[in-house]
Amino acid sequence: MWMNLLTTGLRVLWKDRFYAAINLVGLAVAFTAAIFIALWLRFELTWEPFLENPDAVRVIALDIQLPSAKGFHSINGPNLLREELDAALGDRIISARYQDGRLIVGSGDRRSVERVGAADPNFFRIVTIPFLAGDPAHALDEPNAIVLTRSAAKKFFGDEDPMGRTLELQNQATGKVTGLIDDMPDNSLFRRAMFVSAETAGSYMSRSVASTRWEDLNAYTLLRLRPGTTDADLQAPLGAIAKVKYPDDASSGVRHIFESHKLRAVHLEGVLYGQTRSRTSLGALGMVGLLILAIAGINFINLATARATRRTREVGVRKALGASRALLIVQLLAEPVLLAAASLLVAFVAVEVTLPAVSGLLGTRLEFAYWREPILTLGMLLCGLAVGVGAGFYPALILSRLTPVAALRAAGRSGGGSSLVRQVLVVMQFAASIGLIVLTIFIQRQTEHARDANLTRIAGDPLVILEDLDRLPLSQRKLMIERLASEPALRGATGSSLAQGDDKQSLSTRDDLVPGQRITYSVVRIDQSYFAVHGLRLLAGRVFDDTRDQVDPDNPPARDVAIISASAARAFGFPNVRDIVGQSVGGSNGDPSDRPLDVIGVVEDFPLHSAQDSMGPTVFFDAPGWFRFITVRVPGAHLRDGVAAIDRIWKDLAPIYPIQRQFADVRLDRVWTATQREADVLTTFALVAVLIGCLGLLGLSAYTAERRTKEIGIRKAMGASTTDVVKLLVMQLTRPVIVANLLAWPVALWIVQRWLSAFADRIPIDIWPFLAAGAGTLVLAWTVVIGHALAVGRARPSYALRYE
Amino acid sequence: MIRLENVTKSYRTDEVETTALADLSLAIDPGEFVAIMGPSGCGKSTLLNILGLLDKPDGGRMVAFGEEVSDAGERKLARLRADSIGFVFQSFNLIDELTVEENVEVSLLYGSNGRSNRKQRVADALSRVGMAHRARHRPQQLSGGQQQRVAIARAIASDPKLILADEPTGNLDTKNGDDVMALLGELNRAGRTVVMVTHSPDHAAYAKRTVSLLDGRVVAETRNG
Ligand SMILES: Nc1ncnc2c1ncn2[C@@H]1O[C@H](COP(=O)(O)OP(=O)(O)O)[C@@H](O)[C@H]1O
Ligand SMILES: [Mg+2]
Repeated sequence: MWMNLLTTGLRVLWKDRFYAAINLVGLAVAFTAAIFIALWLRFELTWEPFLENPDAVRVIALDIQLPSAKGFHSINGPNLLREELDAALGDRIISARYQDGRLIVGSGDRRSVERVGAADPNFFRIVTIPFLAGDPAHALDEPNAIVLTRSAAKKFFGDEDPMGRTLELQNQATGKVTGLIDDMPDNSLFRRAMFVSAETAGSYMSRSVASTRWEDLNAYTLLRLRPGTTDADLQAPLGAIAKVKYPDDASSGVRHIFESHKLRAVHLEGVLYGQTRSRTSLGALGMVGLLILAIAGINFINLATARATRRTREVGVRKALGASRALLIVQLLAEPVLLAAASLLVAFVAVEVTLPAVSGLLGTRLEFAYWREPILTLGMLLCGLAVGVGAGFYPALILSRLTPVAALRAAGRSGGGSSLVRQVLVVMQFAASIGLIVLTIFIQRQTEHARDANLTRIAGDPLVILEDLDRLPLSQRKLMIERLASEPALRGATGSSLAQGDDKQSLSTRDDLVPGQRITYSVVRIDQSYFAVHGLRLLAGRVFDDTRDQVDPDNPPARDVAIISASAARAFGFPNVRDIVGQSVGGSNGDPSDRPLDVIGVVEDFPLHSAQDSMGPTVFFDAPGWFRFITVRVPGAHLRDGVAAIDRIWKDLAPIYPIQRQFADVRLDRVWTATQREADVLTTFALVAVLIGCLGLLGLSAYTAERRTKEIGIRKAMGASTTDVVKLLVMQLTRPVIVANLLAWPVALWIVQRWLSAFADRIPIDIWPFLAAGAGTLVLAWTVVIGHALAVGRARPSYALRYE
Repeated sequence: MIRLENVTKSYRTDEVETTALADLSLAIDPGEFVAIMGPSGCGKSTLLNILGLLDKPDGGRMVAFGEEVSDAGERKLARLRADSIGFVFQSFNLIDELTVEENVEVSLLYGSNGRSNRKQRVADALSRVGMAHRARHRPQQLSGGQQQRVAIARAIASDPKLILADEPTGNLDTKNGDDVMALLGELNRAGRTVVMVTHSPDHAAYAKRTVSLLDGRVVAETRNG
């Protein structure tokens, strides 16, 4: 009997293969999209997926509030915070420092720059990365111990066992491999090729890593709370430490506040530069996923019930032949359930096949192992079953209840009763699509707006930025800049303490510049070529002259010669910014570290920092001792030659250090890629939802056109032309689209308003996206329907009228 | 009124080609009442569909209402159907979703005759066939004879010169069939041209001329009375 049911089901599907195909594709696409969304959400919501007992793991961030600039959060904190916390809390916590850096790692004559994490011995007891070899509890105990990832091990040692082998670190120290781990997943803050002992890293890593000044923020402080310890227990010591270590907070107007965040959620809290994910966007994505499933489910049920009414006659005959009601129900359920199951199968295969491509698009390695995702897999199976049964249940119930006579009599008629329900469902589905389109238009525009406001590019030739300059001795740095500057293939080179797209900044707060006011500004150290290389003209005054204005770090002058940004001039009390040139400000409060500023020039504000609004007023000094970057202007027409020249000069002067260079644009963009990607992902899936809606519409319009064949034949016999028929069928669809617009607009407006209200600097709400979404869906609907309408409209009526 | 000269029509399905009309010539004059007879499958419906401009002949010439229509455009054919021709089908072909009234109104929607006082024309047509009291019913709620009367009301509402009826009594019992024939005769006496397909010699007797078809050809023509 089951065989019989299966074959009947399959035969019905084959007979209606156009509809079956539409239903299958729509549902399969929806399931695929939903699985991807679920994977993406799971990926974003469970950072550090390997974390054992994640609720007990904390990272301490620093909230720095400034009197006159925006201030910022930093997950990097002072180097010594861990020690202080240990002293205060003792064995109630396990603690470790973690520092980011780049190291030249060598083995034999193989040398490369690697991203490295320097961590305290307890690190792996807090961040519980599983070890392939070695003992996590003691791997970093020894000085210069190294824990390697699998791919780094492969790179340096090939297929040989890396345990116990040695690597050269920064050409200065020799480290020993004490542990081997898998490559770090993409949803981790600790995506590094290797980890080294922090204790000894200070001796060979850059100067800034070793600094223990409380103003220098260079280390994560990671904690694992022992059972019984709570966040409340952390509050008092954190407050006390801030009070002791930042004694100037009371008088300077700057406030340092330590915050404890769960490590797993810290990327959602807005304290990470360039890695912050927005909870709103993730929530919206989840909603879109549900909408996609809902739209596809509605379509499926809609079309399946519409089709099922065609089987009325069959039901009548079978009943007359004595089939029981239960058997009929099972039989009518078999077809949609089979179809839904097939869709699920297709979706699972599609996810498997497209996963690498989608991962590439998302810039993230997603994985899908359905045996490891029982909840997701089970959820999808249930969803499929629900849709299948939902589609079969209503017609099964109705049809199987009819008496044989009623069924046979109803068979001739076209099902008019349920068409109202169908219309309502179509309206709902369109309304959802319209709302989604409106929302994504605003999300895209707001994202672009925020990006543009922070990212006005400097016009002209591309700039190449050489990083990690502080590894070179000062004399070599100077030589490097000179050689680059005099290279004919290039258009100038300049050194600086900060380069475009930076996420660090150096702040100074003074109360002697404007009476009764504390002013915080960013300090940038540059040389005389800086503005020329960046293509910037001063608004007034002159640029630095290295022979006259340069600061000798060992012999600081009594007065500082400065060029300041226009916003700094205004902050210092010169609304007409040109007037400050030639003036000397500050230096009157008797504090010897607050030297007077002799302002020699004013420059327009321009983008330096990755979050430009946290940069604020800026003051430039001519001071090569702090240079960490060289910016080189490369002629756009000869980019390849220029970059080759940079590489050649670097190799010439610093053969043992592999070059680290990036285009300025890329650095500036880095922060925005995550935000932009979020918007793009949302847009993509919203479009998928609309597409699925259209597929359903295609099926429904074909069904309607077919159902109305006789009626259209009659109308044509009565003199209706092709145009009349097309108009009739298209209008039938236009009405629900218009109703859908009227329903969707207010709801979309409300959501957009709420979403935008989270942004301080937001785009205005205008009517165009609404009109665009409305017109777009209408045109889309028309395109879908018009094909059928034309085909039906053109057909000779004699044929349609032949069959009853 | 309509003249067919050497008209041919064949249907091609997969490999089989069926010749429905073979070199058929026929003229219908204004005011005539013509009955078309012949065995099943001889091409009667095909002929009627071509006369009614619902289908196009494959070859030959056709002039209708003073216009050459052998290769007329779709738009022109639709206009002629709307203004000059009324149809009555064997299976009534009423639209289930519309009321009796609305079904009749359909014939006025596409032509130039129905522009003015559409409601009045519908009411007149319905009362002429004696169905005014059922104006708001659905076709499903009527008997076959009543449905065919509504179909006739629909055919005459736009006041066409030509009425085509394909076995209008085929699905009706004797009583209802006679009523429908009486109606058609009445319409013809009122000046309309009627062409009707029938299997019943009794009903053919209502017509003034009988055309007999066999295998897509005219084999006999008889004038009655
Ligand atoms: N749409 C069609 N496709 C194929 N063959 C057709 C079609 N319409 C009619 N025929 C064939 O053409 C011939 C004439 O049909 P028809 O005019 O309907 O005959 P009648 O009305 O006299 O019974 C028949 O053999 C029929 O099978
Ligand atoms: Mg026939």
